[in-house]
Amino acid sequence: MEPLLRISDLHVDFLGYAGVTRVLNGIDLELFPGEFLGLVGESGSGKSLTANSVLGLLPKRSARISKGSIMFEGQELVGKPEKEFQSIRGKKISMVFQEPMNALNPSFKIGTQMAEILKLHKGLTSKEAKVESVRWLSRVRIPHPERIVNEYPFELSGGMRQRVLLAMALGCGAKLLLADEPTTALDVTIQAQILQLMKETADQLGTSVLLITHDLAVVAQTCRRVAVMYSGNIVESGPVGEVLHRPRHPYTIALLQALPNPDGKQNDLRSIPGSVPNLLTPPSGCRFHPRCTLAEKKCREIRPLLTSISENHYVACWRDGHHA
Amino acid sequence: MVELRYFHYFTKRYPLTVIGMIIISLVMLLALAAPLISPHNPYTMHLVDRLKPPNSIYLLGTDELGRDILSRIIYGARLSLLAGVGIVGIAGIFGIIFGSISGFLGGKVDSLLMRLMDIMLAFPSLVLALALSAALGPNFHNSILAVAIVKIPVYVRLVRGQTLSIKERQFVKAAQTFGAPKAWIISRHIIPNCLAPVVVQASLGIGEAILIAAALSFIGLGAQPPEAEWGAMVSMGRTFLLDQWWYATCPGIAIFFTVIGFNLLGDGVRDMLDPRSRN
Repeated sequence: MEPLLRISDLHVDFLGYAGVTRVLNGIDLELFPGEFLGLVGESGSGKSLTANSVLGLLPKRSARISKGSIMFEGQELVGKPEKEFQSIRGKKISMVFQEPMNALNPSFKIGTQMAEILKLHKGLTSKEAKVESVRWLSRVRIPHPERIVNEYPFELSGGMRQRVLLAMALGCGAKLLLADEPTTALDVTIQAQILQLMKETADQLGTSVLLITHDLAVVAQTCRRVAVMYSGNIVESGPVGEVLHRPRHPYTIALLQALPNPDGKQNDLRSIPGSVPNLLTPPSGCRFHPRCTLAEKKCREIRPLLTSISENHYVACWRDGHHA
Repeated sequence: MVELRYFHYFTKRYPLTVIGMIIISLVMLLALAAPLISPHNPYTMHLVDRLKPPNSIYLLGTDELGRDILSRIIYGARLSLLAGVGIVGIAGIFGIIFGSISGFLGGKVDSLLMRLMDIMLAFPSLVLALALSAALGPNFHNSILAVAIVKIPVYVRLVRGQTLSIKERQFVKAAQTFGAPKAWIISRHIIPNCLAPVVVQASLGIGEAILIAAALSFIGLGAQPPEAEWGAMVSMGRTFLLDQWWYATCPGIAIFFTVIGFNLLGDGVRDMLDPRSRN
């Protein structure tokens, strides 16, 4: 099957006064139609940046894609003119955010904001757009949608707003939904509801979802495949069951060990020593080696590439390298 | 009844604002109903009754051509209100347009526009207004335009600052991910959300605008005779100040009250719309 989205060898640099920072260091990612892919990693590992690159929304003055390609539905997105990009954003690729509290314009009613997008991408008239907005609000299970369309964002709770945003993101029939930590700002019960809703709606529409999160539990619940990012690299990717139960990369292993144990026997939480490297002066070789307990001489010198270790399971580590 | 209770609460909480509103309402009433309430025609000369002190026929006396000063003040309210609202309106609209574009686009456009504004701000505002007004040709409408141009940088800077903070907010980013074009983001997301401080600035600025417009007329670069404009009347009355005090004083008092009214209202609007100045 042709992948819907294929990111290959994507390098993104930030140009700052202190020099060039390579924040994405050769990302390879494939997303198939209708698939849920989890992208996990700690803060600053480049998850959101990957999503922003797909949408062509990197800060213009300071960031540039220095190498690599992003193919979406067979089209190259890197270097696509802004005008063409605008007709892709919101229509074919859309995004939901971490902070539903701030993602709606406080000055306009919910219905107005939804209708605007429908008018923009689907060419509906105001009347049709309004009907469609109500339909979409009920589809994301908002009670009394015909009343909610006339309310302002501040009148809704965080969970409700995230539903509205989900409706706005999917309302124009997006093929790809980039969900950037969509449930981080919500409490746990609402989190489960939103994830469930997202999964159901996306399944019905056949939309692929790139779910960015740092919560492995969320990934385990919703995704079929997962990719683990560390410091601008994808270090491991594969089916969720494989990666979570038989992790191969030391970073993934450490990440899983840092989770609290549900048995409650273990009191101390284990952490990964050290911190995310400063990308102005990234470690040589494998970027994880300063924090890795198993690092060898080779790890400090040469960067390992993603290598298949079993079907669909890829790891970038010399220990598993068949390419030694 | 609810409205009445609200009004009572409002009066207690913002007594000065209410006074300002009353003054402005009075001035507006004068302006609107001028032909109905003015006792004489403001332009009719009563040559027999020149420079009469206030009396029962001419409540505030007459000028050197025998025109009724009260009637002229009542008609003058029209011009002053027009000047105040016109100046602030023009400056505000251009300020919003330039400020939001400058702030949103950034880069060269921003630098260019802001340096231009800096240059304009480097002039004392009255001097620049004077020069512009003289260049455009001295009449009342040109003086409004001149003062408006001088006031534009104030609004541009204000709106630009707001834009810089609003464009980083999540909903602007979200609008971009929904494929909204730039013009759309500026007009629907940036401008509506930066209006509150502009309204505050505008309501505080009306009083000052009226003063500058009157000053231009006083110098002779604004309203020309025989127009009944307060600043021009003070200017004419100045020659007779020692013997006929009422001629210059009465329009002066009119300017004073109108400006105070707008300033009090402006302070009230600021208290209501700007959470930082609330105590």
